[in-house]
Amino acid sequence: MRMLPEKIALDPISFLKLTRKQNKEILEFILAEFQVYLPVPAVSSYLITKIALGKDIEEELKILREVFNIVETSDDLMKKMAELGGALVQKGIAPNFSDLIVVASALLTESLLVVNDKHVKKYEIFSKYGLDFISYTKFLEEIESFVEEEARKVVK
Amino acid sequence: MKTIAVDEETWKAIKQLKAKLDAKSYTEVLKKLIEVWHSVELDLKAEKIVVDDDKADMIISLLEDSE
Repeated sequence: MRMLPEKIALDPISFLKLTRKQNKEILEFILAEFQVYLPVPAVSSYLITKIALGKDIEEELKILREVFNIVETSDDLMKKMAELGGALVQKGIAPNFSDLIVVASALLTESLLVVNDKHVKKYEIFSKYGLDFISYTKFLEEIESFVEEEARKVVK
Repeated sequence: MKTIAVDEETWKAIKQLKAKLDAKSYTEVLKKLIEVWHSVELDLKAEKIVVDDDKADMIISLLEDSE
């Protein structure tokens, strides 16, 4: 049985990890099986990588838009960020704006947020505001069992 | 059932493909072609997106350190 939802969002480092050449086949599978949402910080991290490699940014952004759903800046996104940031400030926690964009993007698109293993802790506080998240490694494990399940169906 | 029209050349090619695939119907042939097309599209998309591992690792490490 499929445990993962159809919509996923990726935090910046998870997205960069997924775009490593060695993950090409996993990326293909994910593109076939999921609607993938990219928050703006994930897009900019990716484009920074491409700039460092001397690529044409206009072209790279065009390709990203063809393949993924970029969560654009909107009134709804800014309101959600303000709600989340306000709640943190009331608890005496200084909000990180990149994290707020990532979390607000996942909440608005009602997607499961895949987060870098090292950053799981910092997302825990957002669970009480409805954030559903999973670590990158756990996500890959789930994908692996999903692939095995699909392969078994083909054999049958 | 729906009918589609194809030119003579395509008809010959699709008949040959049906034999090669040992398909029972042209629906089966078209389904296979669509499946392969999707797979090729995904491969092309992923090829455009991926970054060499060492380059990606360098940026990942910089970003992880900055957080």
